[in-house]
Amino acid sequence: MKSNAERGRCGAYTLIELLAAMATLCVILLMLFTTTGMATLAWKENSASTETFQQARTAFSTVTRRLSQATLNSYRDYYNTASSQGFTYPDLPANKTEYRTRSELHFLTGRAADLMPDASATRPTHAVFFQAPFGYQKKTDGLRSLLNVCGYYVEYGDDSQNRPSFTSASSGAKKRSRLYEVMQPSEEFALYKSGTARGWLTGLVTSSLAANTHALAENIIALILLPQRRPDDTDLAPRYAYDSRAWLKGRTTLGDLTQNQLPPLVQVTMVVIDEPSAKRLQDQDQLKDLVDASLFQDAAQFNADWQRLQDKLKGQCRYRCFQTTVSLASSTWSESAP
Amino acid sequence: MRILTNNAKRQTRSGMALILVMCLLVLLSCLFMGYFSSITAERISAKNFAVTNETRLLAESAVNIVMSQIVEATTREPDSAWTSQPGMIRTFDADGNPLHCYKLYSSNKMVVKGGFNARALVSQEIPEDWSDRKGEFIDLNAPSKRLTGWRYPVVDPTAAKQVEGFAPDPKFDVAMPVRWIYVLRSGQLVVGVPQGRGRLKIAAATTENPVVGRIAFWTDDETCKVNINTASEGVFWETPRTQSLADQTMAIRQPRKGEFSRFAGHPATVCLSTVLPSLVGNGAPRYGKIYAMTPRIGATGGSQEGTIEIANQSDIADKQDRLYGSLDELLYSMSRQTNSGLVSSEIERGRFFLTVASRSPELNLFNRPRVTLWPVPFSESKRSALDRLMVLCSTIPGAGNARLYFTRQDNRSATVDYTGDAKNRKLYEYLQQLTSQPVPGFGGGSLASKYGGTAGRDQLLTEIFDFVRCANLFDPNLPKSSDLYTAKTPGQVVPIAIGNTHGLGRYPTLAEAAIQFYATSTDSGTGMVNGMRAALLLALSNPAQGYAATTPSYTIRVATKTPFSTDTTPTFSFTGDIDRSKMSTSTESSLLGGEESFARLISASYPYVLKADIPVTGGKFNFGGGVIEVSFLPNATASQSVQTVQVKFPKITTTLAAPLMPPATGSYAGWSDYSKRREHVSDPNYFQFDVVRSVTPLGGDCRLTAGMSTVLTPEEGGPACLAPLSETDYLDATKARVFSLRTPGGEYYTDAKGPALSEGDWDNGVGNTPDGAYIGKPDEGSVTSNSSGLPYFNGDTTAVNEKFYFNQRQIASPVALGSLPTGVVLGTPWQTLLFNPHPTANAHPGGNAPPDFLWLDLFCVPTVEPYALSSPLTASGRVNLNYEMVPFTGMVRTTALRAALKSTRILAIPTGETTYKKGSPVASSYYHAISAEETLKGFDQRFSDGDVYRAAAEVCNLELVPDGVTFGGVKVWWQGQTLTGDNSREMPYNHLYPLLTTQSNAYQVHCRAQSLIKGSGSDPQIWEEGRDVVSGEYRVSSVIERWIDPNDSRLQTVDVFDKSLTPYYRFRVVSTAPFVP
Repeated sequence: MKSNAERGRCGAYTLIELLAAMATLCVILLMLFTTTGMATLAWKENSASTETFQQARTAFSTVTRRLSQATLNSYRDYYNTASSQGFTYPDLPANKTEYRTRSELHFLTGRAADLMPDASATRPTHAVFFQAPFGYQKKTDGLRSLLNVCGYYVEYGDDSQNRPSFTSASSGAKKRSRLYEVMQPSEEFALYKSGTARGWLTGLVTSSLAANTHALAENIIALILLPQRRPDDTDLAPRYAYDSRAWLKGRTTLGDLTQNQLPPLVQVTMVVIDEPSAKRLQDQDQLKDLVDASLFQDAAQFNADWQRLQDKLKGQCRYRCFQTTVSLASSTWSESAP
Repeated sequence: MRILTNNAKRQTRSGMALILVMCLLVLLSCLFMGYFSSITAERISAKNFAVTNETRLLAESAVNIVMSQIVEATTREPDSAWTSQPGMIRTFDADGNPLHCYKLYSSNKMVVKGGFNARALVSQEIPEDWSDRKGEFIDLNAPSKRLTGWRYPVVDPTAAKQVEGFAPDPKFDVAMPVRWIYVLRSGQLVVGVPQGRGRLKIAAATTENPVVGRIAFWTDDETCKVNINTASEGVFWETPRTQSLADQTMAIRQPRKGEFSRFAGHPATVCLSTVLPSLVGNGAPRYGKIYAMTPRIGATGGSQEGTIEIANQSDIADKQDRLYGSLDELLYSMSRQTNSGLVSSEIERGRFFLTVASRSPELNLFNRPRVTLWPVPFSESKRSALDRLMVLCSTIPGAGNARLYFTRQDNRSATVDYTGDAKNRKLYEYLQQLTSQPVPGFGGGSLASKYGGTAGRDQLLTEIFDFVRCANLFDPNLPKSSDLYTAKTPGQVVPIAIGNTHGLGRYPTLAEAAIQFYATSTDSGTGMVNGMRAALLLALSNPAQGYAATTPSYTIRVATKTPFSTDTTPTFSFTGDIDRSKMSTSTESSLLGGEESFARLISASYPYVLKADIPVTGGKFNFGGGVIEVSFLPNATASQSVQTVQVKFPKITTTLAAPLMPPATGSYAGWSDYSKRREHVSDPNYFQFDVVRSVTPLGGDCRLTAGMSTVLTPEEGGPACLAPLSETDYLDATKARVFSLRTPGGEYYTDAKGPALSEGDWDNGVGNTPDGAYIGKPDEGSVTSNSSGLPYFNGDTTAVNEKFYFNQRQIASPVALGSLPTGVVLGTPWQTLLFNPHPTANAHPGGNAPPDFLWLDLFCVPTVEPYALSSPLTASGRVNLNYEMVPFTGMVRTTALRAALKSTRILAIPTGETTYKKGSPVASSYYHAISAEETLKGFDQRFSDGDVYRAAAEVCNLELVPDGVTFGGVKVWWQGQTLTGDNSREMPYNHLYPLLTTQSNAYQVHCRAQSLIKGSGSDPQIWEEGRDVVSGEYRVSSVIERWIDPNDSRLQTVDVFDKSLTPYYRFRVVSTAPFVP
C-alpha cells in the first residue's frame, strides 16, 4: 500500500492540481502573448513611425537641396514700360525705355490650390515650381546640366498612380497625404514655348502631371513655403505667394520688386505624421481635412497658425515638423526696383 | 524496471518543459534579432544619409574656401590691381610690384607673397610621382567608365581633336592632380605630411578631433571660355581706308543693323567655331547653324556674312530667344528641337571651353568705374533709344545715380557743354584725379607725368571730351530731326575750351598759310618782270575727318599784325573776311574734313590779294616777312572767335628772284590778272611761275594748333608751333617755291609728310580720301552709292539711315582715341596717343612708363545690344588674356583667345604702294588674317617670364602676326608696310580690346570631397591610405559669380569716384553639377 501510495503521489496529479497548473499556464501564456503582442504592436508602430519620419527626413533634404539650386538665369535687358502686359517682349528698339532684370524662367510659390487648380484633387498647403539644371532626361545621355522643371506639393489621395501597372489600381489603394515631386524631363521642357506667364504650368498640371510626378514621401500633411529677404521676413510673400512674373499681371510695388528675381531665402516647413496615426485618421475619415484650409494663408500669422495646427495634432497623432531656411544660391537679390 | 519506467516518464515530462523553455527562448531571440537587425539597417541608412550630406557639405566648404580666397584677394588691399586666371588671383601694388598670389586650388600654401612663376614652380605643385602619393594628391579629372566610354568630369582628352587651341599636358595628359586638404571634426583644414609607405601625418588630429574628410579642388576662370550667350561667329567688317577691292567690298557689303557678328568689338564677333567646328558649313552662308543657335543673333537678313550688297539686303528680324541657362541647353532650340548639327558628345567635349556665365568687372585698375565713351544729349527728350541704353549702363543708381557718361547740348558753344553740366565737370575731375595717381599694377608715375605734366594731361582730357562730343552727329533715331546736336550747323562742332585747354572739335583750323608773289607786269624793254602782286593763300584742315559730311558754317577773318614788306614796298597787308557758309559746297569731298585746298576759298571776291603792284627792280626782290592773324568766327558778326592763329612769315635775308611772267598767249593767257588766274586754280601747275613761301603748324601737323584757342607768335609770348616746313628751304633764295599746298588736280597727297612717316602717327583717310593729320573722328557711315556704285568713296554727303546705324561703327572701344595728339602742350608734331607702338618707329614717348595704353583702362563703351551685355559695372562675354592654368601649366587652352582673334584682320599698306588711294587698284586686299599660332607665341612670353597680363589694354602692346609671317619676322614685315597709318595699325586692337579682360567675375570650382573614417584603435594623427576608410565621395562642379548690385544701398554713402568698389561685391552660386560616374 505504502509503495502504492507513494507511487500514487509520485505518478499522478489530482484534477485540482492539473486544473490549477493549466490555469496558471494559461495565465502565463496569456500574459506572455499579451506582452509579446503589445511589444510587437509597439515595435510595429515605432518602426512605422521611424520609417515615416526617416523617409520624410530624406524627402525634406531632397526638397531643400533641389530648391537651393533653383535658377532664373536672369540678366539685364530693356522693357517697354508702356506695354508690358503681354508676355511676348515688346521691346522694339525705339521703345526700349526701361532697363530691368529679365528672365525666361519662372519661380513661383503659393497655395497649391492656386498654383495647380483642380477641383478633384485635395492639395493642402503650398506648392513650389522652379527650374534648375538637374540634367534629368529621358533619352540624351551625359548632359548633366540640362534644365528641368521641378516642383513640390502635398496631395491627399490614393497611391494608385505610383503602383506598378500590373496591380489593380483600386485594390488596396492606400489613401494618404503625400509629398509629390514634379520633375519634367529636359526634353519636354516647355517653358520657352509658352506664350503666357503661367502657360507652361497650366500645361504641365493639366496634361502631364501624372507622368512627371512621383511621391517622395508618405504622410506629409503640410508643406509651408515662405519666400523671404531675411529671416523672419513676412513682407516679401505676405500671402505666401511669390511669382517672379507677377509683374505681367499689372504693375504693383511687390510685382516690380520680385520681377524676375529669385527670393534670397525660402523658409521650408514640412509636417509629417506617422503611419499608424495616418491609418487611424484615415479610418476615421479625418485625414483628408487634417490641415484646415484656413491655415497658412497669411505669412504674418505663421506662428499662430502653427500653434493651431500643433494643438490639433497633439491630441490625435504622432507628428514631426521639419523646418529650415533655404538659401537660393543663384539669387542676385536687389532691394531696389530691378 | 518500473522505477526505471517511472524515471523515464519523469524524464519525458522534464524534456517537455525544456522544449517549452527553448521555444520561448527562440521566440524571444527572434524578436531581439529582428529588433536589432532593423536597428542596424536603420543605423546604416541613417549613416549613409549622413555621409552623403557630409560629402556635400565638404564640397560646399571647398566652394567657400574659393570664395574667401577671391574676397581676400580683391579686398585685402582694395586699391591694388588684381588679375584672375584659371587657378589663381594675383594682386599688384601701385608701383607694379606683385603683392600676393591667391591660389584657387587646394594646396599646402594657399597664399603666396610676391609673385608666382607658375611654370618654374610646377614641379613643386605637382611632383612627378603624384600618382603614387595617393593620400596626398588626387586627380580631379579622373574619368569614370561608362557603357559609352570614358567620362571625364572636367576635360575630355578627345577635345584636342575638336577644339582649337587645346593641348593636353605632354607629361600628365589631362590629369589634374591637386593636393588633398584634410578636414578635422572641428572644421580645421590641414595638409598631411608624408611619412612614407602611404602614411600621412595629420599633426592637428586627435582622438576627439579626428580626420573626418578631405577635399581637393581647382577653380577654372569662366572668362577663359567662349560664352555661348554672347559669342557667335565673327565676319570682319571695317570702315574702308583704301580703295582695294576688299575695301570696296566692305563699302558695298556693309553690315546691317542687328548684324552684331560684324560689328567691331562686339562679343558676337568671338567665334564659336573654335569649339564647335562641325557647325561651319562649306558653302556660303557658312555660319548659318551657328547663328541659328545663338540666342540673339539673327540668322537671316543683312549682309549674310558679307556676301550681299546693301541694295539687296533685307532687315534682320529681332531675335528674342532665351539665354542659355546652362551649357547643356545648347543642345536644344527654344522649341525643344535638337539644334541642327549638334550632338551631345560635342557639347560634352566642349565643356571645358564653353560657358554661359562669363562676366567681368567694368572697373579700372583703381577698382573704380570706367567712363563711357558715348555722347548723350543733355535733354532727356532728345535722346534716342540707344542713348537711353547707354545712360542706363553708365549710371550707378545705388550711388545717388552716379553718372559715368558725358552729355552735350550746344555744338556752337565752346563752353556750354562743359560749364552747363556739373556732372560733366565732375567726370572730368574724376579723370584728372585718376590720372594724377600711379596706376596700380604698372607704376612708373601717373599718366599726368607725361606730355607736359598736368597741362598736357588736361589737354588730352579735353581732347577726349571733345572726341566724344563729335561722335554721333547724325543719329537717325532721334525723336525729331531738329533734336540733332548739330541741327543748326550740320556736322560742325565748335571745339570745347576748358581752362587753358582746347579741344579739337569738328572745326577747321589753319593747315598752311602761304604768300604768293605772281608777276603782273614786265618791262617792255628788258622783258624783265617789274611788277608783281602778293596773295595770301590759306589752306585749312578739319582734323576730324570722316563721315558724315559737314556743312561749313564759319567766317575766316584775316588781319595783319605786322605788315609785310619788300625792298620796294615798305608795307602791305591782307585783311578781310570770308564767309564760308555762303560759298557753294556741292561736290566737295573736303566736307568730310581733312585738308581743304586753298583753292576752295578762292573766289571772285577773294579778299587777300593786293590791289596794287609791288614794283620789282632788276628781276629781284627782298622779302621782309610779316605777321598775320587768322581768326575763325562762328559768323561775321560774332564778337568771340573760335580760334585765332598768328602766323609769322620770317624775313628772307637774301634776294629772291622775281616771279616769272606767264606767257601772254596760250593756256596761260591772262594769268597776270588774278581775276583770270583764279579760274585756273585747279591747275596742277598753278604756281609754276610764282614765288611762294609758306608757314605751317610744326611739321605740317595741324592737330598741334587745332588744340589751341589762341596761337600767338613767340614774340607775343606764344609757343613756337608754326614755322616753314623747312626753314632752310624757306630762306634759300634759289628756291622759288617752298610750300606744301596741295592743288586739287596736283600730285595726290598720300604721303604723310616727313617726320610723320617715320613716327607713324598719322592716319589713313577714310575711303579713298587722302591720308593726313586726323584725329580719328568716329565714322558715322556712308551707305548712299554714288555714281561709281560705292558708298564711302568719292564723297557721299548723305548721313547714314537707321537701317545701317550701329554705335560700334563709331566708337567700338577706347582704342578709337588713338589719333588724339599728345604733343600740343610740348609742341611736338605727329605724335598721338600710342596704344600700339609701330615696330619700326623710333622711341616714341607713348611707350614710356606709364605707357599710353593705360588710358584705355579708364574708359569703356558699353555693349547694349542685342541685350544688355554690359550692365552697370559689369560686362559679359569678355575673354581673359591670362589663359595660363595654374598649376596645370603644361596643359594649353588658348581657345577663347583664338576665338577672339579669329575674325579680326590686320590692315597693312606696303611701302611704295601707289594705287591704294587712286588709280586702278592693284592689290585686291590689304587685310591679313591673324595667325593665332604665331601671335600667341608673343602672348605666351609673359607667362614664360612667370608673370601675367595686368590689364586688357596690354594687348595693344602685343604684336598681332599676320598669316604667313612668323612671330620672329613680324617686325621686319612691318618695315615694308610703312603706308599703314596710325589708325590702321591700331584698328585690329580696336576690334580686340573690348573683347578682352584680365579680371573675371565668374569661376567654376571643380571639387572632389571624401568623408573619411579612421580605423578603430589607429593613431589619430596618421592617415593610412588603403587601411583607413573612405566612407563616401562626392564630385561636383559649381559655378560661382562675384557680383555687385548697382542698386546696393550701401553705395549711397560711398563716393564711387573716390573709393574702390571691391568691398561691395557679393557671391552667388550660379549652378551646381554633380559628376555622377
